[in-house]
Amino acid sequence: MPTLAHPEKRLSFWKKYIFSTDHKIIGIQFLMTSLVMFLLGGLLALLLRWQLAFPGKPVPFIGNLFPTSMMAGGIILPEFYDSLFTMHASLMIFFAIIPILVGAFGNFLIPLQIGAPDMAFPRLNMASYWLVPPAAVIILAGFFLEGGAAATGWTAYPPLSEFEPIGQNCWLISVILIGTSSILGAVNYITTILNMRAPGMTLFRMPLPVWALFITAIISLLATPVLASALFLLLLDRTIGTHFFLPQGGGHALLWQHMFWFYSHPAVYIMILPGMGIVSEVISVHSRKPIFGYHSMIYAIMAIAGLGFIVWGHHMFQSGMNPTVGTSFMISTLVIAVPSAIKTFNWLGTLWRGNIRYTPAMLNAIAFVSMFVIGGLSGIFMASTPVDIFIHDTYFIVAHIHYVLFGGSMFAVFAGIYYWYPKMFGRMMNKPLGILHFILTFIAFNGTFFPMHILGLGGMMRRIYDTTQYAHIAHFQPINVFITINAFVLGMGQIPFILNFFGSLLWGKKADRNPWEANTLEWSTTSPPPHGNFETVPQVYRGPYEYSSPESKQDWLPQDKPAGHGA
Amino acid sequence: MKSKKDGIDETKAPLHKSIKKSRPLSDFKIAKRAAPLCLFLFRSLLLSGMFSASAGAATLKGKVSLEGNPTANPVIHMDADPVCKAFYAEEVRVPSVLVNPDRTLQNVFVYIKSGVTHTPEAPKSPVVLDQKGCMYHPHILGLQAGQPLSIVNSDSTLHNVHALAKKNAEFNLGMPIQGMKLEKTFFNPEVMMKFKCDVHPWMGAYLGVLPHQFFSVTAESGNFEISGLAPGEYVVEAWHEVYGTKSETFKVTHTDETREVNFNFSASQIADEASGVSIKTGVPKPVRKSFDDSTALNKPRKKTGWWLPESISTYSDKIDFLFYVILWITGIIFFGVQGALIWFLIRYRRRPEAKGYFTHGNARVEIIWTIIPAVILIALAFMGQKVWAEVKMTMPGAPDKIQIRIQAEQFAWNVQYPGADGKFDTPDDIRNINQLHIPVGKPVQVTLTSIETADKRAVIHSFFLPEFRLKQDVMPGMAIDVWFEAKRTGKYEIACAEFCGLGHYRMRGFLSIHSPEGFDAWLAEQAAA
Repeated sequence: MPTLAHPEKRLSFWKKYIFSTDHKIIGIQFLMTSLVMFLLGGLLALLLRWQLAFPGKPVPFIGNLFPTSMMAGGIILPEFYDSLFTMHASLMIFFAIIPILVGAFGNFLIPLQIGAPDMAFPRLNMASYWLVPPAAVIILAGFFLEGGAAATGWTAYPPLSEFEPIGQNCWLISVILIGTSSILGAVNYITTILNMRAPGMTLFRMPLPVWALFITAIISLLATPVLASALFLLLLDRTIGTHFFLPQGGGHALLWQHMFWFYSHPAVYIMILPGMGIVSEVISVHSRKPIFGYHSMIYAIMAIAGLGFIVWGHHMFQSGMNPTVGTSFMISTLVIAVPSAIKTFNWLGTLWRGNIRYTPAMLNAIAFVSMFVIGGLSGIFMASTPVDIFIHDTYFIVAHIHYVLFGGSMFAVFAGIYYWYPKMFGRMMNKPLGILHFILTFIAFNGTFFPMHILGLGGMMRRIYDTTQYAHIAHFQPINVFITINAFVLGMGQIPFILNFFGSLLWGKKADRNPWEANTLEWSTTSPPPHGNFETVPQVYRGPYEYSSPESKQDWLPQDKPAGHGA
Repeated sequence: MKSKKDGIDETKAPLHKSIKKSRPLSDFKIAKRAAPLCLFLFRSLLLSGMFSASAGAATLKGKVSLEGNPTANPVIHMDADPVCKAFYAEEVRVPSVLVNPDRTLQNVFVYIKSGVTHTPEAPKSPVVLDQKGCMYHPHILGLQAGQPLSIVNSDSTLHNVHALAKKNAEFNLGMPIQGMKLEKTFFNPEVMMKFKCDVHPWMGAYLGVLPHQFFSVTAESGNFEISGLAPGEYVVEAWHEVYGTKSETFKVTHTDETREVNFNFSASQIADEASGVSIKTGVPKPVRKSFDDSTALNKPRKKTGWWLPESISTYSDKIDFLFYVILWITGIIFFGVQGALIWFLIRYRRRPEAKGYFTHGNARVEIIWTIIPAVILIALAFMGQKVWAEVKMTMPGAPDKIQIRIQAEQFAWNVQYPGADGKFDTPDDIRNINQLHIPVGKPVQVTLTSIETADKRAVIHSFFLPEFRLKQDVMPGMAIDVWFEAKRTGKYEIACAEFCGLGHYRMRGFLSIHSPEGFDAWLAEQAAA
């Protein structure tokens, strides 16, 4: 049972902001770290986009600052290019999207939305954050070692990854650390959600972000250990001469792909389910309507998580895996589109006959729905094994993954930040800057990633250093230039966000308890909430999305408001 | 002196080797590191060479001249690469026939063809082939087998140095960066090996790889000089890229004598480039092939815009059909959903003092929008399975199917045909690098494996024929069969679609689809060679 919130104790700066066990501070630590990594990952992407648009042309302004092992006279070398795309994906997936969605929002929201004073295991929680900075240092250290950072793609397929320089070891150790962090977080989330809900907060009264994070934590707990073992086996191959993934010693390179994708496909859902939860919340609040089909939303999340464990083989259709197995993976993969479709239709149903308020958070949430539709539909092409023969390992898949992970996850992250910023920091973000950021990001995002579908249809392979080498893709070069220009605008478009984020900390309008007139428990406490979250243990009377209820004169009805007092 | 030289070799050579072994480093870096060492060795060798020459060995001297009026060298059009074009204000021509006012001929490679009994160890100093101004410098060069060749790119554009070696390992490497160096060593004598640039088709150079150092290239004077010959009977040959070869026999009896041999080529006698057979000018070159398949091979490719590439295999249209089915279905859903979204956003925008419509959902619509997508998706799975089974789950049963092995290495495709006996790994096998030849209208079954070579690892590649809609990963430790059948003739490319290391982006092969007769002729021609 949650104890009564205790008055804020006098804590030293170190205890309060650095080695904090407060879930809110840990959430904010995850957020800050991940945003820095997001920025870094984005800069790496811009460098590699330069090479793709202007192969062999020196990088302007900063090209000469790089050592000769990375650039020759400002020209990106193939070795460095390979590190760039590897590290871009690794930073974005392992250090930006997963830690923001799961680490930052998971930590910040779960106790607040279920009415708990903190996480079940605050010290475990602190440990899960403090594994991230060393992991980040180790993976980035690769850039300064002989042979450069890991350069075998974020998938690190052996046998290639068996023979690459030392940077690959850094990558392996770092991802093992970050995986451990995920596992610790998952244990904590599951325990907290199952044991520390406020009185009256039944499972089916939980807000959808909590549901999504709960299911995500179960996926993490089941899948991450498999990744950790694969990483460890590869590390053993590289360091003490085992042959788990080397055919000449009796191992098999396909084993890695099975283990890796057994984690990494569910990981795609780790990266999208919390986003779906956030977006459901934001859309319901801003439409002033209950979420359409609350239960079917939850069953859809469960279905995605369950099916997510039996679709990994669709990454391996062309790998040499028995094609008959490919057939069963094709069917499971096509079926997983059904719960995704259900969620999309339910979001539309929520908007239908609503009273829609437009804020930066809502704009980003709507963009999520719109972009996720594209990412979902393009997935059907790849799920169909014969079509996949052609588009596998082309830019079509690069387009697809970015529609899901940027168009999906990142727009959800932006929606979540704009929405919960007042609760996190007690100040409002600037609305015009937020809208400017949204418009720039939305247009440049589509300008960057939509044309990649076309490149993929032309047969342009992923991970090639020079796109002008092949006759069948050379004439696509103008599209590559167009994409790169948009990518730079997309990068520039994040400047208003950075200004807004940090500027609002200092100059933002003070936020009151419930600026969005929302129902969930976090809005019934102060902004920001005190240590221990709630002045009194909240009593929950109803579900989270009773907007525009006839029970209440206003168009919202908080979860902890006793019945009959609404009028 | 001799002992000193041996001493150098013993102490320094292993060091050089040890640097080479300290992989992984690109060739480019090795060349950089080894350069000072090579310079040192070069100097020592130069000294020893001078010493042995003055110790009393014979010298061969002479000049090469040309009779008659040669046809003009072809003009080079550099419009394809503005970087190249910028080098030249005036017209540029291929430097193949360069005649001096005194009728002597430049760029003739003169070498001792036979008679050399003692061959010293190959010098460690590299011979430099520079790519400068989008031309090879020098145009004609020689080196001893085992002696390194340093290939330099002095241009700020991409060169792709392609050595059309027949007795040595063929290679085809992109050099994207100005100042980039590559070091290559050839171990088998080969006169002459042609170098070309796959980016700039006019670029050509010829390298003579010899078992010794007794060669000379006629310079601007048209003269040559080969020194250091021991007494004995020799055959000297002069090679010119247009006029073919001429040889003479001479004898050396005294250690310090100087012999003179002159060669005289005729402008009316030009040689077929491939065979070296002398023919008359004015007459078209004889077609050495038993069948001229150039019409089939040069059949123009269909222009495609920013969309799917041409579709030229028996199953590619089926895959494209499925693609269009999915495109239509997803297209309709896309416009439906985005249309509804935009409509709702406008129609239900905020009205002050209004409330939303209070509903928690509707079980009936939930069931409808669960079942309809499920039915569509399952139908797609069934449609897909049929094509999937045809492409990947079955192999052609035709008895006359062409069987080929392709061994992928970092970063090349080794192609192997069984030859006349229809069996692999027999002496009549035909082997090629990056050149896949197939006939039109016949199923081809390719067995894919990944191999390791001296300094390269067996890794995953992916055999990708975009126009055939075929892709298959090549997995180390597995032999994977794929099949395809071309519907038309022409020249296409093989791409590597799975990241396989540094040279992944240039692991490109070339596919020639012959007419059936042309393919048979090509096979016969390969078997004869």
